[in-house]
Amino acid sequence: MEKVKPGTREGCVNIGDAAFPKPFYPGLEFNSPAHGTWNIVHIGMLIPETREIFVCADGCMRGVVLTAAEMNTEDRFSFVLLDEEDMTMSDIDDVTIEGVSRCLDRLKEAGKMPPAVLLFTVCVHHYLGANLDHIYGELEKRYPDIRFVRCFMDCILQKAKPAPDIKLRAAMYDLIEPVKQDSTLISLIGSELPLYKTCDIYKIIEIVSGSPAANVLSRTVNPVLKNLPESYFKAIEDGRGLRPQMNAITFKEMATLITYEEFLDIGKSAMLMAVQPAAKMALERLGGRLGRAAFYMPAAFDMDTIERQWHELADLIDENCMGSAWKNNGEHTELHELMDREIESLREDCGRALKQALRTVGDTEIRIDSSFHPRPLELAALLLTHGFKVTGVYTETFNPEEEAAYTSLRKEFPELNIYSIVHPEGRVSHGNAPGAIAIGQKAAWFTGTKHFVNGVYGIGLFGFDGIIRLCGLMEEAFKTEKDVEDIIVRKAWGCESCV
Amino acid sequence: MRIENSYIVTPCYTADASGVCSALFELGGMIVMHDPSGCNSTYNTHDETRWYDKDSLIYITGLTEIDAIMGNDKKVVEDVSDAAERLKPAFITICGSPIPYLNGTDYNAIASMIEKKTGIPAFAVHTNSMHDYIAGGGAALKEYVSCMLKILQKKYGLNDIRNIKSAICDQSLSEHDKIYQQSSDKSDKNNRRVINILGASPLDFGDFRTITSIKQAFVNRDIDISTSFAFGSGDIKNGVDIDGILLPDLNADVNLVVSAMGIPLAKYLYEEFGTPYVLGVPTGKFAEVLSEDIKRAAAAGTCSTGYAKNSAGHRRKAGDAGKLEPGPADKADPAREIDVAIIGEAVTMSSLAAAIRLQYGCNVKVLCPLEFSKSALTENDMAFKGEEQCIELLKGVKHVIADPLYRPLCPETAVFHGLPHVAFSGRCFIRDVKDLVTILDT
Repeated sequence: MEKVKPGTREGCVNIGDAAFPKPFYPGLEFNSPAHGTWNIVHIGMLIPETREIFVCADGCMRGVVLTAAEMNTEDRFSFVLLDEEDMTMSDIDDVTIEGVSRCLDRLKEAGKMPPAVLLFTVCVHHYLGANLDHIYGELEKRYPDIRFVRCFMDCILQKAKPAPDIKLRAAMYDLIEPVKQDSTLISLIGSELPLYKTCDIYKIIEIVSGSPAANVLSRTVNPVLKNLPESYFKAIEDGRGLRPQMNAITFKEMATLITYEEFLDIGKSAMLMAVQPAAKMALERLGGRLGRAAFYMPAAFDMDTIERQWHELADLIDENCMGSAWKNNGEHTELHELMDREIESLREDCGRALKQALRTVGDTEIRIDSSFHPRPLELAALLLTHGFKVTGVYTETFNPEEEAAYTSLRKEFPELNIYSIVHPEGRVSHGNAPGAIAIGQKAAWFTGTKHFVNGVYGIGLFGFDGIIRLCGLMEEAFKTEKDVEDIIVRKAWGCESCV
Repeated sequence: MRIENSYIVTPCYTADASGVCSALFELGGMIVMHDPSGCNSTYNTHDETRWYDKDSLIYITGLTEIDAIMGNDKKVVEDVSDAAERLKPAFITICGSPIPYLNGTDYNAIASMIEKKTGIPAFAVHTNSMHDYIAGGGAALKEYVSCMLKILQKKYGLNDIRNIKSAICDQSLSEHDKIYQQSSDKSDKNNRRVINILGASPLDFGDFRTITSIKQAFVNRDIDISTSFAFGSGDIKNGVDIDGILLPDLNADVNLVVSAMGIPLAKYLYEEFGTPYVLGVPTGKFAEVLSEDIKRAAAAGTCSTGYAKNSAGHRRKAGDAGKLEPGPADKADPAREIDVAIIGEAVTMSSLAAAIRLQYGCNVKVLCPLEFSKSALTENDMAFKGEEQCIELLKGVKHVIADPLYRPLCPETAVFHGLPHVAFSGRCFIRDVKDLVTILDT
């Protein structure tokens, strides 16, 4: 990819002039009051019954310990504070080992020993050259009944190497052991939010297996996900039966796990899947270690991409879970024909939904942000090519998977504005498009509109079904106002919050 | 190993860098935390209840590993200068986090280079995110005023910074006339005293009405408030505008320190200008005692800890700001069983303790987990660190008043009274935060 030019020092650039994948110069950063994205504390808490222990200075600790408090999981969180003496006069390895040991000894006295500890070391450990093998090895020796997961809050590395949340998603699954395979089990890993049960993945499973996918949940989700909107559950109730049936495939989602044992059962999966870019590293690591099929099927808005994903997933399910029952002379011809008929119908449904949404919102300005969905450019391209007036996308970097959408938008819609979400001027230049429809919390704050589609990480939207649902959400946003401040200041959309 | 650093159930107080931001939030400057990530998010999410409604230029540098290792301070200077030239702040403050601390970053040099490049006053506050907000906020207020007074000194061509008071006298005293005119009580002007509130911030005063309540507590006691530096509320200004610079009223008779965060500035103003200071919040019946203390301080030029003589009988002596000397009244009995233990910030909780003693005659002890607060505690009270020491200190206590997140440390035999403190539990109980002046009225 030819670089257009280095990232601009301005807070806004036309996509026609924007560098890929980093359109903005990395200068000072501000932080908007939109906090719906999940941080490492929220993500780690998805493993039921475990405890997180952080070892860092007060300033770094404050954000994570209050994250736990706000989500009412302070009883699953411990920490060791580091001070100047620890960093300059002591051995950081010893300080970490003894501090964590003290936490665990007190938990033992209280009868609260966890099955596993997510132990987070930080920039300071990295900077001081802490011997992590020694730290974890010694703790494993002292507490043989506890599994220790190597987690990091090393923000100083996040611009050059995988960010802490990506490394955490990968490390969490290090607890999974390769137990005996269950050919009817597919697990979706690395997603914080459950998918809608009407989404394409469930449809594909049903077509391939001949019966609806069983799911381990009804109205029950992971204990931390107490603020999911009712629409999730309505979708379940409206959908077809989810009770396990003979030969049915069980589709297990990380966000639906209730117990630690259920989490460990991921090790039985015949096939692993991920739909979030941040989970790709986890998928590759776990799939490789367990020796199981691993399929990365990122949520997309490009219909050709979605169509291709349908066929790929169907083939893999048949091969890994159905004993290649659909294969004839080495081909999946019959299955693909079945798929194509369904896809054609869904494409038509998408077209109708987009037209209906356009009739409703007309030429209302639309702005999208990258916290809503990892593919904001594809979403912008979809809407622009269907006549919507998308005027801006808020993102700090482009998702490398969106290079095709970037190229297409540069050619077809070069005037599309790309806005930085951390540029210093953003602190004072918000509220400049109050009549817009915002897709995402940050877009809502920057525009100052009360009409917005709320959510993060694609909110369980997936495939053709995701496009149709999003059209409905845009219409709803156009017609109704939301209390933006009350909604967006809460951390981790969908997660329990005491705020 | 120091067991006080291991926690299994309570959170930690917010850190020094957040204290800097909170203290300077309303003064029109740009505050930059030299940090890779997270400091700004933590601050504006959990500590800064003004963030959504009021713009303030608070940023992080986004420090990377390579810049930290290579000591690339030039990037910091360029990035801060670039942002400052776009946004024209009144001043620039730079403070730090653990990695720049380990690097030995020369913040004074960085501030000096930024000031030279932009022409905007710049100063450093030496934080490293390993101390609490009292340390950071206290240092920030003092450094800000010190820096701004030097600018005024230069502007007015004064040899001695002490002469600023007379140089700006007209501007400041005209403010006093306005305050007097606005006062509902038209008693003899000469009997009224004008004070600054120092050290207030949303971290300790999560219910913003407390500032107005402080004014109300004094209004019929011949005391007027000139500024609440630097956290205004209602009709109380966050500073006096001297040539475009917001400052505490230098012609105030007394500085009222309502949180330990205000102590360094109060000491500075006492040392430079002889303005006496008094520690305390006019909580409940303690307001009367505090009022008398303020008047005594104004008359005699003495500093005092308003609540001290109501606990272990100690008060401050003029010119000896750091030490305590025995005072006239000793109503608490350290040997008696503790009826009430109050955990929290030294000045606010000591004032509450004094009010409870006056109102209920209980034996009350303040337990303070914050650094640099010892000078604000009486001998009857105690500084502590860590959960385990706290558990020991609470043994046998009948009532505990503390932030709700301390509840797990409270003995089963004690009655727990939740008093949310933003500097501790952030916004978890923000709807239940109390007005610290009227808290005992109901």
